[in-house]
Amino acid sequence: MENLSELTHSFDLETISPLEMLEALRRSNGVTISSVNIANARGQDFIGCGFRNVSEVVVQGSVGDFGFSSFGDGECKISGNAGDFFGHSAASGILVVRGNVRRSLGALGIGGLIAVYGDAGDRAAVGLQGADIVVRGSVGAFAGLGMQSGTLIIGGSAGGDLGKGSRGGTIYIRGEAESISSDIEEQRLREPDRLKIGMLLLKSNIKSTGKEFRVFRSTHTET
Amino acid sequence: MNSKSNRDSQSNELQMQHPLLGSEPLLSRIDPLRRGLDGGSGIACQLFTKSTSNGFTLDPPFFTRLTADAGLSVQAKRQLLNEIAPFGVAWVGDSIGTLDRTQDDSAVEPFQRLPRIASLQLDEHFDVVSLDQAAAIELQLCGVPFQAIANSRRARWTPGLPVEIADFEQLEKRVGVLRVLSGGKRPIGALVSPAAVYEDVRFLIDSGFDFLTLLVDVQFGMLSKKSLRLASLETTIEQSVKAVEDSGAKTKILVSANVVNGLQMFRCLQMGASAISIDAFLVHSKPMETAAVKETFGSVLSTYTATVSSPMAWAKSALTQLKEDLNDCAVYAGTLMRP
Repeated sequence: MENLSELTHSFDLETISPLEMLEALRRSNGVTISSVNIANARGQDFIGCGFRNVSEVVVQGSVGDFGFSSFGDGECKISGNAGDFFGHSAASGILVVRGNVRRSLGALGIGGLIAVYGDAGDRAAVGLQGADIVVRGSVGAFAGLGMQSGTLIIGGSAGGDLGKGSRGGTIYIRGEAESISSDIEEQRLREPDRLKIGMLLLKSNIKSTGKEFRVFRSTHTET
Repeated sequence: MNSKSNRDSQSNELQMQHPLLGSEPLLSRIDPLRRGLDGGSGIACQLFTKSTSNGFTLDPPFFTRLTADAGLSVQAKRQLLNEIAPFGVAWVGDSIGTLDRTQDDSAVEPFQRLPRIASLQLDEHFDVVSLDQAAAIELQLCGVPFQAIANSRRARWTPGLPVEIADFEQLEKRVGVLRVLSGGKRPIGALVSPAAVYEDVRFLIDSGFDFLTLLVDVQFGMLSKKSLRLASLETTIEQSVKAVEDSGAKTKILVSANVVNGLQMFRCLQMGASAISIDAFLVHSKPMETAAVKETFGSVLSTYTATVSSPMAWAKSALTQLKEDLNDCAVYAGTLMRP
């Protein structure tokens, strides 16, 4: 580990474990760290877990399973791919993945924005509880499984059983879905929807408009 | 000398053959000479993480889930926990008051020093702040996900995996991420309503849990002595202890059951459980409301003026009695088991 200054940290994952990395950041005692650079990320699990009070995180490479779980309060950019459960329980901030993400993207996220420039696997946005997720490519089966609130924007197509078990939240999709669950229904795209899509795409740094999307919402009332 | 060694070997064989004696010989767990006057240390439950040996000790081995399952108000929880605080009883539930390290000792409520086991529901996100304040973390592997209203009381305790887990192998990683988030300092456990006990316990041990809470009976609350029986107590403890022994792990087995006196509690410990919930005991020890009497202005007034102590004061005397009962059982059994 090499410390450039008190407010900037650089970590080499060949010499430090994700747990040690988190411990090093926690020693800052709540002081906001301006930036963290993580090098040699080669798909190790648990990278960036519990990162809070960090303004900017840059990861060179790919992260493994449970990457940036419980992330909050900052912006994170990952140059490679991400494994299962990326952004699990995300609380706030922005997570950007330039590559693809495997299963259960943004599971149980309660806040913040997760943007994926590639494709996402099955169960994207499972149990979402308030976070916003933008996938520029396609998603696998069971996208939006058990969503309670929040937004899932799919730029490409979706696999089977889109929105199964959904009890709230909104799913926007530009392409086609293999099958759509009976738990969600298509609604007319209104101006607030277009504005919301446009704003989230803008925050995700994706050039598109909200005109071509279809909108689906839960058929169940929120309990 | 020969006769003594024969007797020792016979005693060991007897202990090995006896299905109720757990992983360690009873003598090493309950020794009146080592236990001292207090009597608790011989049967204490140590909840530690596997790798870093961080954790805490439950002495006596009691815990309560009433704070999580009985629907008590925050005030009632505080009153109950303050009464049982001198006994060091661990409690399960959400945080109801953080302990400020800079706070003056006199301003700290007794319950804030009790070990809290944070319970994570099937579809509950990881709240890092809440987990940080807990002494241990417990994943609840039963219930109805997505916060849907359960159709029946039993549905709430239906075995299940977290919603985002698509296959069994992923549970190990979910334990791993909790370990990282808690800095490796807190034991990670699972709450299971027993179904196929042996297989379930083996699977959960392989998934890396430090302790398992087996929910044999569920209390309906403080107002009713009824409980919901989910499995047989003896079979559950027996099979879970066998599973722990077969796996060679040091996973602790906590049991939440309809155990209402010291003898039953001691029997569970003797069978191999590491700690027992005192929920049913507390509910059964709660004084019954007096029969309805003709209310006069004077009688109503006297009830208000006379109530100075906490309405949960009975819990303290009940636990004192329980500890004595348990101690008596241990001394009795320990004496009998001496070679």
